[in-house]
Amino acid sequence: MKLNEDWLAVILAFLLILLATIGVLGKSGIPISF
Amino acid sequence: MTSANKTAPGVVSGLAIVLALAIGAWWVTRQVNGLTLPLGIPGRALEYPLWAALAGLLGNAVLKMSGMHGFVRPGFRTELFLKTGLVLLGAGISFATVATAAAGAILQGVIMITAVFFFSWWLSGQFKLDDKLRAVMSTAIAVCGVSAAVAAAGAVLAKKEQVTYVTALVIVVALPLMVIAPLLAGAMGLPQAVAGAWFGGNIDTTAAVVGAGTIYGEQAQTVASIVKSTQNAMMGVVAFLLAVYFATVVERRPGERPSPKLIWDRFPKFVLGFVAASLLYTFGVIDGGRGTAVEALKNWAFTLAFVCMGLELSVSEIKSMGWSPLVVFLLVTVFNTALALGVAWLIFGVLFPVGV
Repeated sequence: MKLNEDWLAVILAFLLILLATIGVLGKSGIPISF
Repeated sequence: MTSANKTAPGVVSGLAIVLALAIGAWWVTRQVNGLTLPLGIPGRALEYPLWAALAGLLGNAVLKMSGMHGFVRPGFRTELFLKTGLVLLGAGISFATVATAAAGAILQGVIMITAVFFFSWWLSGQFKLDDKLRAVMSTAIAVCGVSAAVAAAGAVLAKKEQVTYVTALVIVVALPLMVIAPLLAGAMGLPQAVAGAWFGGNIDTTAAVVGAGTIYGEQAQTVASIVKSTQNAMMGVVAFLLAVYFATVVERRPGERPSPKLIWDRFPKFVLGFVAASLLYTFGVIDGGRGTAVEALKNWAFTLAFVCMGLELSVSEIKSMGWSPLVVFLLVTVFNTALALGVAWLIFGVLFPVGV
C-alpha cells in the first residue's frame, strides 16, 4: 500500500514534534537551530 | 531488479543534493544577513526562501548540464517538505488565530476561486483552447497550483502533457512572484495580514506563497499559510464539481456519476495535521513557538521545499504548446493579482482583521 504523501508529512512532522517535546531534539538533546 | 531498487539510488542521491543545497542556502543567508548590499539594500531583507530557490535553480542548471537531473529527480520532494513544514508551523500558532484567519480565508477562497476560475474558463474559451486544458489551467490558477492541476487532471481525465505543461507554467510564474509580490506589498505599505492574504490568494503554488510570506514577515507567513491551506482544502469540492460537469455536460457519459468520495480523496490531509498541531500548542501540550527546535525544523523543512522548487523548474515543456495558453495564463494571473489585492484588503483589513 502506498502511503499518501499528506499523511506521510503529518507523521513526519509529529515525529519531529515528539522528539522535540521529549528533549531528543533541542537544547537538552541534539541542538537544532536555523 | 524491481523498480523500487532502480529508483532508490536516485531518491537517496536526490535527497542528499537537496540537503546540501539547503545547507548552502542557509549559510549564505547567515553571511548576507549583517551586510549592506549595493543600492543600500539591507542583507537581512533577503530572506532564506530567495537563497534556497536560487540554490535550487543553480543545482537544476548543473544537473541538467551533467545529464543527471532525471536520475536524481525522485529525491526532489517539494510537497512532502512543504507540508511537513506547514504542520510544524501549526505547532506555533494559537487556534484562535487559525480560526479567525480561516474564517476570512474561507470567504476569500470562495470569492477568488469562483471569480478566477470562471474568468480563466471564459478567456481560454476565447482563445479556443482544449476543454481539458482549460479545466486544468483554470483550476491551477484559481485554487492551488501544481496539486490543483493534478487533481483537476484526474477529475477531467486530461492528458499527461497538459498537466506537465500547466505545472511548468505554474512554477515559472510563481518563482518570480515569490520575490516580486513582497516587494510590491512593501511599496504599497500593506499590513502584514493583508499582505499574507494577498500572497495566499494571488500566488498559485503553496510553496511560493509560504516563501513570499516568509520574505515579508512572520505574521504574513502565518496568514499566507492559513489562507493557502484553506484554499487547498476547497480543492476536493472543485475536483468533484469538475468531474460531474465533464461527465454530464462536456463528454455526456450517460450513467457515469462521480462519487462524492472524491471530495475526501482530494482533501489535503496535512490541513488536519496543521489544525491538530495548533490545538496541541493552544492547550500547552507542545511548543513550536519562537526560538524552539520545532520552529527551527519548520524553517529547515521550508528551505528544503524552496530548494526543490528551484530544482524542479523546467521551461522546455512550455514551448511545446504554443503561445496561446501562455498568454491566457499570464492574463489570468494579472486578473488574479489585482482581484486578490482588493479582496484581501477588504476581508483581512476590514472584515476579519487578524492579530497574530
